[in-house]
Amino acid sequence: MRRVGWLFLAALIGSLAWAQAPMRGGTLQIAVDSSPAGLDPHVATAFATFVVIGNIYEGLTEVDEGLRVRPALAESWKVSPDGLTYTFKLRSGVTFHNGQAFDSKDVVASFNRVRDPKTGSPVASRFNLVKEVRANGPQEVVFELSQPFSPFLSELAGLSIVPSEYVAGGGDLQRRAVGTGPFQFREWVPDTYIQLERNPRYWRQGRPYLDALRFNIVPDAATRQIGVSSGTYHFLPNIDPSLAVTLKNAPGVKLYQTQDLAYSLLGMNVTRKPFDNPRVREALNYAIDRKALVQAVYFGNGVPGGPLSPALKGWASPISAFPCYNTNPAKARELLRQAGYPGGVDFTILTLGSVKTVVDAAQVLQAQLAAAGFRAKIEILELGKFVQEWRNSNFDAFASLNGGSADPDGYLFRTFSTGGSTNVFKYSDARVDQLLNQGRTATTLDARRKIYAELQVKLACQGPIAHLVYGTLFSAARENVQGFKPVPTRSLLYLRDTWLAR
Amino acid sequence: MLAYTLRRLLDLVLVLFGVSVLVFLMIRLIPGDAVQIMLGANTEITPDRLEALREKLGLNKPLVVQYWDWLTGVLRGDLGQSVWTGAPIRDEILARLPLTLEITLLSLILGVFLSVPIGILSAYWRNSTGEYLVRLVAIAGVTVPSFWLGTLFIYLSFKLWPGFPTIGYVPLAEDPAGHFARLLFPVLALSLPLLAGLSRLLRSTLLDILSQDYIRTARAKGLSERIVMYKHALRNALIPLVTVVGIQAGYLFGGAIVVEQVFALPGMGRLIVGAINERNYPLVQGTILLVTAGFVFINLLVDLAYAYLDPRVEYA
Repeated sequence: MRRVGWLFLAALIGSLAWAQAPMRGGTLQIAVDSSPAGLDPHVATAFATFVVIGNIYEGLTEVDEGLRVRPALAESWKVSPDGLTYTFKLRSGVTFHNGQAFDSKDVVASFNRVRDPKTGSPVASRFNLVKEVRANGPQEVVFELSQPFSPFLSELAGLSIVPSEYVAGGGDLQRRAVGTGPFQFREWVPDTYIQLERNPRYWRQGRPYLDALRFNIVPDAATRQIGVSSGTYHFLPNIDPSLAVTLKNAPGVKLYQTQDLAYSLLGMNVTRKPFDNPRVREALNYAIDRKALVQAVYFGNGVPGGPLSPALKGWASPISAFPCYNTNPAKARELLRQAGYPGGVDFTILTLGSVKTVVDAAQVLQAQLAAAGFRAKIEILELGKFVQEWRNSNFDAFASLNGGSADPDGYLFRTFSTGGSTNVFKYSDARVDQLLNQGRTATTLDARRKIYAELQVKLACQGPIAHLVYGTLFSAARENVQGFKPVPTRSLLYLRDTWLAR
Repeated sequence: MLAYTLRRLLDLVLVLFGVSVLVFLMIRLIPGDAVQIMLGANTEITPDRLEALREKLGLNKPLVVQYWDWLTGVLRGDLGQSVWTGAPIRDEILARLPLTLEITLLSLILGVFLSVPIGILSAYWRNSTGEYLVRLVAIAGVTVPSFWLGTLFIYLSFKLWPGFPTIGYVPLAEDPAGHFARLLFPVLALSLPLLAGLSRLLRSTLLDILSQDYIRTARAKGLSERIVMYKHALRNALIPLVTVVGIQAGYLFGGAIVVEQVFALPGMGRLIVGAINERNYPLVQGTILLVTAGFVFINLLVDLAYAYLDPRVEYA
């Protein structure tokens, strides 16, 4: 008995030791579906680019697996009591991959590059409220805002710091990336692979564990699937739910999962009949059975949600807060009747043919809505046409898949504020605008939470978007891949902690 | 023959001119604003930025001027620059073209050289059990698309022969054995439909010819079956084969695009599909022009070969 106990203890210690001692070395073979168009972090919009450059560049802050803001290139910061001045103390002893030392002028130069209209950076508008940025000695940077902006720290995670001298000297960031991150750019063989190698001077002691990351560009999903099953590839980041279902029982393969920030939605044009009437929008919500959508479209791997992803813990209100989420076709008909449509309504749903989840969702919705008197016609468009109609607000309704943000302001402000950059619904509500402005300027967490709770209730049932389902975000890996943690933003931050057991 | 060749070359120039106009107009006639579509869902687009990109691409000039600029560039060997990276399109193409040519040529050689003996033997042993089997495989080969065959090959090799390198690409100079090992299945997947089609065609043409009077005459004057087959029957049966090989060579190029996707090979197909996905229009324009020119050029070669093989084809 005693001996068995000792053996058990030894085994336990052995397994703990195995779990705790990461092994160094090796190349992680990653398979991704498409090639980045370029590597410049300030102009990138495609996910294919972020997956690669997220390992090369760092911001002053970073967003972790729980969507909390953590220090990265800034060691610490102070916010003035009025919320207008942010003072960052920069990490010392950090060098760029080209050997140049990192200091405050790089932060200022990176910020100015993003703000420069010639750069055309998609993140520029997130920093509209920044009045001035200045270096205060080599290790300190001060940002002055024109009004308080609570999501600022989280937004800074999206501002990659590039080496000022390299850029000023005509360095081509689209083709040769130079950052401070755990991995440095080594080689890009077009349509074949992008190889990153360990940054030996990385400031996090002892990281990364891997010698190299190789992003193999493998466009065919079946090939990626066989590739990870056969061990040709170690890691498939952010895969489709249908591929996850196929790989669930593959020997030697494990799945990582987390709650995705991205969600499926039905957007409505509030300048056209019938969706100009808030009652009709509410009726539509009553007509939707979100649980059935989870089963039929997401194979059970998802949850119904409101305007904020359940991944935003502490922010997202539970769906019990939204009365219209209790599916009730009779109530929907009654609301339609009150809105002056006793005979139901006819409208068209535009959708993007290339995204399977969206087309499936539109078809299931069509059937659900029909039961409540919403007669929808689905029109499937190709990308260019869809983007065009979307941008010009030329639709009754559309079904789509959207990404989210780590801070509630990021998504809500641009989508629902009057004249917001993605407010293609032409939605305009004085109270919502007021709350959105309060939400980004309030400086205490409690005050912000109250504001966003009210906003969510207001937007969930009568807003221009019927939020449908937040999917589960899957990544697939070989059994011997250790130390990785998935992040709802789809960032591969934790490849720096990843190692290969042999 | 010379006059014929020259006339065909003149036709070629005219066709290429037409193609260049079509390719040029293609991206300018798509519904909507090409520049807006290129920038996709990027929400930071200001009218200034649209105008800047339009100017950079020369899209603000009159259509005729745009075409003239592009055409003169093409004639000088300058296909323009990739929108997103600024890399010269000529270099992008030169980096991908050799691999696609290699796959296409290997598949063509394999398909043609195997189809001749298979076709002859099928004609010889027609309606035997062996020939039924070959026929079954051939009909399957004609109907099954190469991308499906490709996925099947990858899967089978993983099940039967784990460790055999099937996916990806290694340059020839780096590792010749690994290079050809990785090309084995793509070439098989691409050549099987061709092989099946050609051997079926050769079989039926041969059967047709073998029942003709001049074959009976040849046999009657005591020629050996070997000479009857090779000298009298086969040479005549090759004429339709050459036509079909020419047409198929173009389709092989198309098939290579799909096979490159499946086997993750960095060839022209990936370049074109990538350019379309990134809405990189100058690159789409350059690659499509080149591929079409290749297609037209192959057709010219077929016509010339045809004239050479069959003296009855009119030169004038």
